[in-house]
Amino acid sequence: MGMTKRIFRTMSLLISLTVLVFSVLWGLAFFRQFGAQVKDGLKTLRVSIIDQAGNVTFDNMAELDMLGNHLDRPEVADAIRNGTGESERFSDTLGETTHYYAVRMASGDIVRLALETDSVFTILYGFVPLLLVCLLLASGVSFFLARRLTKRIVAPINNIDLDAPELGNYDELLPLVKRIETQKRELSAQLGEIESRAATISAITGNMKEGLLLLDTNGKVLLANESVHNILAQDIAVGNDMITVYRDADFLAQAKRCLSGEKTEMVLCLNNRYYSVYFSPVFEKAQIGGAVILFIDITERYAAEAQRKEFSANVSHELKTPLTTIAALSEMIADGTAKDKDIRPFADKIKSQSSRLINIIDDIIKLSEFDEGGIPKEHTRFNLYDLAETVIGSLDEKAKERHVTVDLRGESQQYMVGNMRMIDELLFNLVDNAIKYNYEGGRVDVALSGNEGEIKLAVEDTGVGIPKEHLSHIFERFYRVDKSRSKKTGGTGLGLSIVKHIAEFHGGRVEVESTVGEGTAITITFQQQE
Amino acid sequence: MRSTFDKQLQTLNTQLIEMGMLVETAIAASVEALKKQDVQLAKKAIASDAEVDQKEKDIETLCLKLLLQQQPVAKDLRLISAALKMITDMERIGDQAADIAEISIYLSGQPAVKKLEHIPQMAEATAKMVTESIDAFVKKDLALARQVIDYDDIVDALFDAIKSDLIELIGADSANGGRAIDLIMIAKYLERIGDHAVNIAEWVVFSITGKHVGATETEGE
Repeated sequence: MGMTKRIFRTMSLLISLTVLVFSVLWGLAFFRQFGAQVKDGLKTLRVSIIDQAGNVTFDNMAELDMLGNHLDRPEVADAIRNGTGESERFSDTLGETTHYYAVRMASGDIVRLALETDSVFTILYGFVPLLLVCLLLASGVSFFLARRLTKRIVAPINNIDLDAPELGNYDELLPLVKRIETQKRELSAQLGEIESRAATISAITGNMKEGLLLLDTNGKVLLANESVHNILAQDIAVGNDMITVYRDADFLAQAKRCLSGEKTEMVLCLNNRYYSVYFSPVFEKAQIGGAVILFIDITERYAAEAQRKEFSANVSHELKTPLTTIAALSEMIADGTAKDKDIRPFADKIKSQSSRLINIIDDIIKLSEFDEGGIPKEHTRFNLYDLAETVIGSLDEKAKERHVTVDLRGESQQYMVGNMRMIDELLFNLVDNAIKYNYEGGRVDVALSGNEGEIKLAVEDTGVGIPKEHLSHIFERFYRVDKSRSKKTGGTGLGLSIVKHIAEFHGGRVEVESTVGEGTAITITFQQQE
Repeated sequence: MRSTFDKQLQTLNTQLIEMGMLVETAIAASVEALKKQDVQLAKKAIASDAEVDQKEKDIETLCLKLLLQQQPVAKDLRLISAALKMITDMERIGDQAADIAEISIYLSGQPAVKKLEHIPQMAEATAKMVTESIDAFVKKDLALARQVIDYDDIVDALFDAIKSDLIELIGADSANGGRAIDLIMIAKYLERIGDHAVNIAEWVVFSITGKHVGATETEGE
């Protein structure tokens, strides 16, 4: 049965039922009430008997003396003439209409009955409370029924399972259910999209190395990613005031400035690491909606920057010293203040200082190549023993000058894979240092050994040695253990820096052992991939 | 009604932390100024004392307003009364930090006494106590508060060490007397700062547990 049909049937049923109930009730009540009313009505009935002369001989309600001749009354006249008569009159004295009915008896006397209108209305009024009771009862019954029936109509609608709609007979609901179904699908699709977007965002913020912090306009935390927790070493609860998270006057001042719309940045040192912190205001429809704070770890860059600054300062200083000498001497020669016999020694000095300058500049160029990191890995397989032999040969003259014996030990077929030019440089620097910082008649031992993908290169001397406190610094640029001595030996202070760079470039490890007055041993271990 | 009150309590909390931060910055600056003989920094530390005083007044007003208007009970009442006590201690720390800065300006004209390593040590230790007592308040961390209370023993031991250092200094050369007096003043100020930090920590314990522990009965609590 369709819904419309069902509603129609229910309504018809309800209406007929109501009418029926009312009629029955009313019938019963009327029957009873009417009897009583008729009885009452009889009591107010006025009866008069009038003789043929028109004189009233009996009246149950009025004094006979007061009544005049009744022949002129229309109902009486009609009754004398026709046997019956009736009329109605408005009585000024009583203010009511009275109905009269007269009958002529066999004796010729007239019997007249009179009833006032008032009595008719009284009868009707008597029915009103009864009517109301009947109405109430009937509407009560119909209300009760209507409620039950409505429920029965609505129940199937409420019981529709929207996940698997089964309409039963209610075909009229089909378009609505269809629509709900479509909207449900759309909603769940949108929800899925929102969820996946949230997951993407949290995956991004969770995995980023940089710390990300979002503040609302009141300076309360809206979002803090994993990295921020680590950087600030704090558990950051969303909704907390920033001051409870990180208590630093500068930082909070910057955050405040940012929340007033200014883009700022600062460097923070936290747990021995340096962070560049960027504060950017977030605008929502031209109004500030919060602040994004990004922490970027710049410790390495910061250290590199510091090193670079130091390096440039050192470079200028190192270049300036020989240049000052050259400038002074050449000026003396040029303006004739130098005596003739001095000119040659001056020229020698200029020569040695300029070669020193060239050495320094060469070393700086090499180092800056390493710093830029753009050196191609031109690795070849070469005989390390032969290379060492060549290097030692090239330093032979210098060694003889200082009466230092240089020995090479190791396998003559010791091959290694690497950049030959660089290893040449490394060997040269090490052996050169070992000769330079040696005593007269000292020894230098170069030892090569290799096994299982590892090549050890050790250069040991019997020289002056390096005091303990300097050991950790000797690979720093321009670092010198003994400043006065380096002038004499002509070192640039960059040799060991270059050695370390080359070793690291080849994935090698540098170890130093030294005893003051006894000598120094530098061992480099290269990992070789077979 | 309650939400307004909650908001006001939140403000009180934030303001207390802000005052803590001011005090922390002041003591860090004066300690740094003392170590590096930095007059500029010392002047900054002295200047920040006015800010600390202003903050104390602000918080005091807020506390009294809360007490009168909200008639707080239980935890809220404890927080407010602890706040009233804490600001007094913080204000004293601010004063003493300024005093140290003043002496350090005076000392900066003279060569540093290299041997006295205990003073910077003590300065660091007290600064740490102040920071941690405020941390304990921020995080409502009972364990940290008790740690601060215990840490005072270390500061007291350092004070004794400095005292004997200075006696030695005067013994070596009585000309050092003037400087030794300045240094003992600094040490005493630091020792007092440590005590105030302990007080703050004790009020933190009170605001959490409702029991106020005197320094002597912190154990067995």
